[in-house]
Amino acid sequence: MSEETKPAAPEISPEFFIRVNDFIEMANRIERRFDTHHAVTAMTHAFSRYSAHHYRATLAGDDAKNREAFANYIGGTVRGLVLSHLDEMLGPVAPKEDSNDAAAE
Amino acid sequence: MDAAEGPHPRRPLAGSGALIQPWLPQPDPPESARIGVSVTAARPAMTSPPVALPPQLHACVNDFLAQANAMQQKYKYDAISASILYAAARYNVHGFVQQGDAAYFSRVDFVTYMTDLYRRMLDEQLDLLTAAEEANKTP
Repeated sequence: MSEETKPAAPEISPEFFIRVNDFIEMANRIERRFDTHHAVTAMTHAFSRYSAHHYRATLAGDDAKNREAFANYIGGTVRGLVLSHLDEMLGPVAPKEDSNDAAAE
Repeated sequence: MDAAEGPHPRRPLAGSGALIQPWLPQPDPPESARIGVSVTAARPAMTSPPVALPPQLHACVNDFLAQANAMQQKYKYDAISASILYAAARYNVHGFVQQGDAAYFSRVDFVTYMTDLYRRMLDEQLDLLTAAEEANKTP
């Protein structure tokens, strides 16, 4: 696909990052008070509880099928975001060396 | 990112939307079921329920929820959910890197652990919120 025909990435509002930074600043405060693992745990717990609240407040009905669909949707988003932050903070995963090359040496 | 739409039917919100209730301490599960709070602590198996919260962190979780509630005066659920999701994913990776876990666990293991942890926590919170609503309905 050429550069001209590539669809534009969705525009992210600056307010989105302000809210993100507010949450991260809260986590940093907890990290300073306790440690990193406490902050990670509290944030993940709060995120899960808010997700559950979001699901219950906005979806038509709570049944096993809807739960599974919602968990899959958010779980997939979590996975994608974690992978992209890993790439950003640690760099992309190095390609595996060819085992045939290693064996030949 | 602001409008992270899920593939689900929606119902209209009443007013500006209900606020999330603060986290209340639950009956303590066995010590072995807790999330480790130290890198040296034994890590629970990925599928071991339930996910307990160390008591000292109840107030911290409620601080996050209060922050989300305050945002709800100005923003929609989707916007707040997307923000806390993005922030939690980024901060979890920060924790993974910061504590040197990246040297001991593969990225795949970490991502699998986080996704599994999230799903278990989500299930628990859904059950808790549903139970709380049922309890409130009881005269």
